[in-house]
Amino acid sequence: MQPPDTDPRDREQDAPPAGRYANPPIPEGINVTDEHPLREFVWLGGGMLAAVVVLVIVFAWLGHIVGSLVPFETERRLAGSIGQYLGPASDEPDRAQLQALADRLTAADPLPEGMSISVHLLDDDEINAFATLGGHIVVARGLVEAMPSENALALVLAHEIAHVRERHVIRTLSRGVLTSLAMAVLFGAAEGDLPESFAGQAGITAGLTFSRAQEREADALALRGVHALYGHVAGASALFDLLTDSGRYTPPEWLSTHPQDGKRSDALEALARGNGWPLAGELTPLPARPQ
Amino acid sequence: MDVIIQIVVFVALLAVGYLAGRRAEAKHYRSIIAREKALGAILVFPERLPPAIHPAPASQLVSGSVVISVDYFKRFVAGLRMIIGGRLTSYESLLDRARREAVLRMKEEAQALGADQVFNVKFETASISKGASKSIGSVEVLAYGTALIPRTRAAARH
Repeated sequence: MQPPDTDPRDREQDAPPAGRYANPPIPEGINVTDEHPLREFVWLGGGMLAAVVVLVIVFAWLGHIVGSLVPFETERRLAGSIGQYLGPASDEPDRAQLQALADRLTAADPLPEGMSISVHLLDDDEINAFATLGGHIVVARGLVEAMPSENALALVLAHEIAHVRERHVIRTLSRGVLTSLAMAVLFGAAEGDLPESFAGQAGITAGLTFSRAQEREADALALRGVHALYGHVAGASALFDLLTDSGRYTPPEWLSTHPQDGKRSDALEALARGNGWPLAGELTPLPARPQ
Repeated sequence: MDVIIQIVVFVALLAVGYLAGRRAEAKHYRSIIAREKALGAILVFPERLPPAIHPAPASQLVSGSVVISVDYFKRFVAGLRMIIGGRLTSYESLLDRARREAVLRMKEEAQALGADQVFNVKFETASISKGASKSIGSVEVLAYGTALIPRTRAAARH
């Protein structure tokens, strides 16, 4: 029951009753919580990280399947004219040598039906090589020049061929597309770009696990390829020692696309021993290059 | 390398935001509580009209305005909170401080005028950047009201 509505001015004359017009102290903690801000941060941040990791794993797995379902001809078509833009045409003899070595590797350890490899030489001093869509492999001149023997170069080529053979490129592509799509849908809704970029970074870091797994797989297949070609794996594990000694910067493994060089070298040695592949043998020198 | 730099910068910003923000907040609350006590004699009311008092006091508009900015840490936690919803506790304390500071500034103005009561007190809030991303995340709180400046009976006769 509400009391009958009366105008306060009728009741209160010169001296308003005490209490009616007063400002009693308001207790603290009504509009603020004494929960420690770090507690909320840990819960929310940890929850988000966990969500991102689960998301990345689920979508990476889906992308893996989707990538495997794409036939190699389709991948080659998707790659389109990439080949034209990779590597200078002026270095035909060098490129031809690399292609010949790749062909010998695929002859010794055949590719699945319908798959083919095109090697390109990139005029760059960096020690680098990569495989891209459609069986295109790019090798930087710096890498060829740093190789102590043909066997080491063959390991690099066989590694990139393994990426093509295992459909790593198209799988990585579909994994990337699916995960970034999912992240955009889920975290793009969050106001402000901070959590979004945080989630993006966490997603990329979580995704690197898959990248490292692919590298290990490619390393193992590469060693198999080198063994098939030469009958021994000499000069293979020495390659990573060479890269370690080259003084190039390597981030901690969890932030890296590749496992650490030392671990890769150890894994190769263990694999060779496990399979009884000779670790010593005659190294084939690289053909002398005209100066 | 880039990733490491990004992570280091991010963690550093979070740490600076957290430490500086916590310190500023604690200091501000100490000041608010002390000044609220000191200005306790100046009463504020939401009622539009004061009780009829004789002689009628003089009246004047008084206002207090505060603009506060969010720190990196609070902003980040709020961004995370916006995904799952719930109390935006990191902003609640910020706005609580702003409201109380606005009232205190209004009271200080009233005190300077010799008033002892402020009626018809109202709040206005305005976002400075209107939620645009990558801009200053800040809010203005304005408190205003009618200060009543008592007149002595002698003064009122003139």
